[in-house]
Amino acid sequence: MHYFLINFGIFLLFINVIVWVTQFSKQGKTYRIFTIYLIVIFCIQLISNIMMRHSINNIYLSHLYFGSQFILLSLFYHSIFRQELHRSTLKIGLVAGLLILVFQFSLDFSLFYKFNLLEILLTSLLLIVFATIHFYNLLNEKKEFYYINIGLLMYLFGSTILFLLGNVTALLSSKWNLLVWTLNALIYVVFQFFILLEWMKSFSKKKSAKIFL
Amino acid sequence: MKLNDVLESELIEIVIYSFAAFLLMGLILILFFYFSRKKITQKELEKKDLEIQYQKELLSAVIITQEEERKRIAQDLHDDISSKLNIVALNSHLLTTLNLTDSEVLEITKNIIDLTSKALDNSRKIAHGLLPPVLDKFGLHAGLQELCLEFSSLKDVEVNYNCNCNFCLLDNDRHLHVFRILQELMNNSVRHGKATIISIFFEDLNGFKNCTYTDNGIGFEMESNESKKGLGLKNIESRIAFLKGTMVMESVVNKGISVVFNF
Repeated sequence: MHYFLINFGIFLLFINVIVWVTQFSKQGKTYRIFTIYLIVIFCIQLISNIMMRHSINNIYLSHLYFGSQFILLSLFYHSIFRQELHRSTLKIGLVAGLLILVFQFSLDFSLFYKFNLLEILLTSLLLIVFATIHFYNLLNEKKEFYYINIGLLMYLFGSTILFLLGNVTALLSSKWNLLVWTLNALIYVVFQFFILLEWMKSFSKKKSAKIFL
Repeated sequence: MKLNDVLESELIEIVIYSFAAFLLMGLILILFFYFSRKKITQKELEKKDLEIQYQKELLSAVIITQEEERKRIAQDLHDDISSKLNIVALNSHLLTTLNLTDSEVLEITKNIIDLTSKALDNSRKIAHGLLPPVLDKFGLHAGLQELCLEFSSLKDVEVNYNCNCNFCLLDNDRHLHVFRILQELMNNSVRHGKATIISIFFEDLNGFKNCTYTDNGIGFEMESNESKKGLGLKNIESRIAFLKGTMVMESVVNKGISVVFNF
């Protein structure tokens, strides 16, 4: 069950990468940033999966995962936001978050080899703030990247707690130590479904451009 | 013992971070709710403002139309009746002069009779224009028949009038508005649209009386500002609003217009 969910999640991510790439040249900046995000995340997932299969410790890839997700999704929201206040809030959040993390890592490099709780909390919460601002902007407006936003918010709400527990999962009995990651894989599958839904509703050729539900 | 310590410190860290995460997420949710409420209220206020603005425009249109109507009536009275009555008065004075021959008296009285009958005729026409007596006495159907007859005889236009429903005389107050709307539409069609064929069709539809008006004139562009600000159209709109009906107006340049309204 556990490996099936993980593999299914990666499979869905792979499909998303393919369908999003097909329209890459025809769509705007926001679409491209999101496609790049999908590609980067797919690479990281694939590498970590391969490393896991060869029993190599892949935990330091989590920093790459959180960092790139934070930076790319921040850029994604930056290109969606129209109001200057929101854009500057996002810029400040992005720079401050990165500075804090760099500072923390420079103080204690051993954090690199385990889940860094501050990193998880900071990147996830800032992304939740940006997603919420986007929801706020969508009130009374046409729904742009609406499904991605729903999926991302659900994923972040769930996975943040699960990742925070990451360091103690190894201490659980072998029967239960995969529980956290199974739940995480499940919520990741949901997230990927929403990304696929977004593409079908807003970007698939059949209903090009005009339909905003 | 040492392992337990490590475990404990890790657990404490997790508890603190989870607590902070939940707290901040809750805070974000509350802020979202607060600002959303504010935004929605503001949008509603803007909508209300727009409505008020629209009503003000309608009101000013009504006032302007009223003034124009007054001006028109004053002009009609002054040009057609006052001038004729003036000449009648002059002629009457002439009658009082001494030593008039019989033929002169006859001519002057003939003049007076002529002019008074013309003035009478004009005053009837003016009164008729203000409120057609047929409409008042025999209802909308007869009023419209007369209106169509007038249009097709006075102006170079063919009017097809069809009515599939009965108009109750008790509703005449409301029917006056319908009459005015059609009068305005026909005037517009002839004056601005250069239409040669006009058709008017009444039917009962879902408990409402439905009127379809079409012409073959030059029409107008629906989106242009000129047509939006026309006084006549505003007047029609406010009458429709008064009747609590709905109206759909369609027009394409050079394809005439079609107006469907119910009441």
